[in-house]
Amino acid sequence: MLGFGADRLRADMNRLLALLFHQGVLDEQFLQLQQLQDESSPNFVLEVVNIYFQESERLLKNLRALLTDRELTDYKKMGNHLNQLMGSSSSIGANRVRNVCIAFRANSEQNNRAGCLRALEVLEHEYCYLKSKLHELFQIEQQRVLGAGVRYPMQQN
Amino acid sequence: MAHFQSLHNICKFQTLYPLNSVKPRVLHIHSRFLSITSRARHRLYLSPRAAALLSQSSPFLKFAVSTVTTRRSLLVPVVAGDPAVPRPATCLNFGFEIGNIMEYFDNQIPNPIQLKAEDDQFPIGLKVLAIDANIVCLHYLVQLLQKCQYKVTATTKASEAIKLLKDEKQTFDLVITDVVRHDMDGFKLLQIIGVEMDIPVVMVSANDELETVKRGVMEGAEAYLLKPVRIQELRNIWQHVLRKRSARKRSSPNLLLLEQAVVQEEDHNSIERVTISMDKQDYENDQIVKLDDDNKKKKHRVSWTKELHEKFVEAYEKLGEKERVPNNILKLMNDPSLTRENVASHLQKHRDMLRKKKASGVGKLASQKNLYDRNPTKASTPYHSMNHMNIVSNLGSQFQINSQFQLPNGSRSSMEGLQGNQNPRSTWTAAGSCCPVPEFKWLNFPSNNSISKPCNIDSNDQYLEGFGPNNSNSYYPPLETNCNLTSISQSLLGNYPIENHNIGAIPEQAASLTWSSFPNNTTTSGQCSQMQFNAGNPLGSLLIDDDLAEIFKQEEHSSFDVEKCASSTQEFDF
Repeated sequence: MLGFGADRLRADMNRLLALLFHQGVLDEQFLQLQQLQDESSPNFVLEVVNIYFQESERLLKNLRALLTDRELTDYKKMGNHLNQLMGSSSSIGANRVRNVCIAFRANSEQNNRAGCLRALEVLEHEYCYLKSKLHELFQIEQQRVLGAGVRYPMQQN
Repeated sequence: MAHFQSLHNICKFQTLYPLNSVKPRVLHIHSRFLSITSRARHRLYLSPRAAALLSQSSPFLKFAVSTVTTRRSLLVPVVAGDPAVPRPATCLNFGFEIGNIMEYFDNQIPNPIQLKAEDDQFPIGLKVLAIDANIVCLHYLVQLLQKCQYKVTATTKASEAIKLLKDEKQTFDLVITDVVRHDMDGFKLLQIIGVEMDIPVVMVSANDELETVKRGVMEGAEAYLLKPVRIQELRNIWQHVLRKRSARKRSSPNLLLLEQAVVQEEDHNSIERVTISMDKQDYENDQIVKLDDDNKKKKHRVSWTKELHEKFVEAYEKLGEKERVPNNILKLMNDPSLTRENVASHLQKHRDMLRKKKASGVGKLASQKNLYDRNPTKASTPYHSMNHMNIVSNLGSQFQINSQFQLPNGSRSSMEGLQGNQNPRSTWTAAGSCCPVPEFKWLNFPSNNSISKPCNIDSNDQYLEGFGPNNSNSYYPPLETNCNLTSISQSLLGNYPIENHNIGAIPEQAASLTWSSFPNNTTTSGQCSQMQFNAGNPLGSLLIDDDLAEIFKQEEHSSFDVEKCASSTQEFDF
C-alpha cells in the first residue's frame, strides 16, 4: 500500500517537474542540483533552494526600494543586485527568473526607469511562481519520503 | 628582532612598499652589504620558501628577519662573518652565490606541502578555497567541489578568505573566486592571491562579457568559468594545480619573485622608494621585465612585425636618450595590442642590437633582419649559411670582448634570429625543437633563461645562447632539466674551496669570470651555475666601470633613506 502511494507521489513529482521544464521555469541545472544530493547531504536541494529564496527576497526588496526611490536611482547598485540574483538563479536552474534578470539588467544599463519597473514586476511574478511551484515539489517529495518510510532515498527517478 | 638590530648597519634594506599595505614587500639587498668586496650591485629576491629553508640552516647563517610577505616571513640571509663558524657547503661569499643557493634550496629540498599532497592520490583531497559573495552559488559550488572529492573551505567574504590564506596552518592548492563582489573586487583578489601568493585562481562569474573574461585571464586567472558551473568543469580543475606545480619546479623562484616585483613596481610607481640612477633603474627593469616576459611566454606574445617595429623605431628615435623608457614609447606607439612589458622587452632587444651594431658591423643585417622576423618559414633558405656564418663571427668577437661564459643578452637576441633562420622546424612555442640539430651540437649550452622556462621551450635558446669557440669541453646535454642543473651546481658548490679564493681582490668583471678561471672548473657545472646566477641578475655582467661608479655614488646618496626604511621595519614584530 505504501509502495503504491510512493509511486503515485513520484509520478506526481515527475509530472510537476516536466511541467516546469516545459514552461521553462526550470532548466537542466536543477537536475544537476538534484544529482548532487546524496547520502552525505540528503537535504541539499532543499537547503540551497531555501537559501535562494531568502537571498532573492532580500534582493527583490532592495531592488524595489531602489526603484521607488524617487529622487535618484542607483543603477550601478541595481546592476550588482541583478548580477547576484542572476548568478544564484542560474545556479539553481531558475531559468525564467534569470531571463527576466537579463532583461532587467539591460533596462538598468540604459537607465530606463520605466522599463526597470516593468521588469521588476515580471521578476516578482516569476519569482512567486517559481517559489510556489518549488514548494509544491518539495511537499510532494516530503510526503514521498515519509510515505516510503525510507530516509532520504537517492534522487534516481 | 635582535638580529635585525645588529645587522641593520651591515645590511640595508629598502622596503619598497609601506608596511601597512597588503602586498608583500620585496627587499632590495645590495650585495655590497652581503659581501663588501663584491662590488656588483645585485638585487636579490628571496622566495619565501627559499628563505624559510635557508633559515633552517641558521647555525651557519645569520638572518635578518624583515617584513612579511603574504604568508610567511621573508628572511634575508646575511653572511656569517665569523670565520670560526664552519661554513656550509653552500657558502655565501659572493652576492651572486645566493642566487644559486636559493635555486638549490628551492629545487633540491622538496616542499613539504607539495610532497604530502602528491603522496595522496593527487586530485583527491585537493585543498580548495571557494569564495563567492553569493551564498546560493557558494553552496552549490561547495557541493560540487565536495562531489569531486576536494577538501573545500568556503567563505563569502574576501577579507576572511585572505585571512584564511595567510594563516600558516592552512594551505590551499587552488582558489575559486567570483568576480563581482561588494567588499573586494574579484580582480583585486586575483591580484593578491594569484600573483602575490602564487596560488592558482579560477574565476567563476555569471558575467559572460567578453571584456571581463579577457581581463580575468590576462590578469592571471587560470580559468574563467561561467555560472552555473558544471561538475564536468570542476572535475578536472586540478590540472591548474598540477600545471602550477610543474611550472614552479622548473622555474626559478627568484624569477617568480622578480615577476612579482615587476608587477608591483608597475603598480606602485607612485610609492616613494629609492631610485638609483633613473636610466639604470629602467634598464634593469627592462631586464626583469624581459625575464618576466619569457616566463610567461605563452600568455601573450606579441609578434613584432616589420610595421610594428618601424613604429617602434620611430617612437624610439623621437624620444631623447633619457626619455626612452617603455612607458613613453608605448604612449607614442599608441597600439592597444601592446603592453608595457612587450615594449620593454623589445626595447631591450633593440638596445642590445644597437650596441652590437656598434661593436661590429659584420652580420648586423642578418641579425637585424631575423631579430624581428621570428617566423622561421619566412626566412629564405639560401641565406642560411651566410647569415649563420656572419652571426657566428660576430658573436665570436662579442664573446671575446665580454667573457666566454658571461652571455650578454644581446647575443641572445641575435641568436634568436639565428634560430629562426637556421632551424625552420623550430617555432617560438613549446612545439619547438627538442632535439639538437646535428650541426649545432657545439651550441648546446644552458641558456641563462633556461631556468625560467619549461624544458622544451628553453631548448630553443639552449643550443643557441651559450657557445664559445673554445668550449668544446662544455658540451651540455640538451635535454638536461633544471633539477640536473641545480644538482650539478650544488655538487660543485659543495666541492668548491671557497677559502682559497681571494675574494677581496675580485673586481666586478673578474668576479663573474671566477668560474671559468677556477682550476678545477672544466666541467660544465660551474658555467651553468654561473648561468643561473645570470638569470637572476642580468645587470652585473653588463655594467662597465663608469656605470658602477655612478651607481655607487647614488647608493651612498640613498643609504639614508634606506636606513630610515630599515628602522621603520623594526617596529614589526615577528
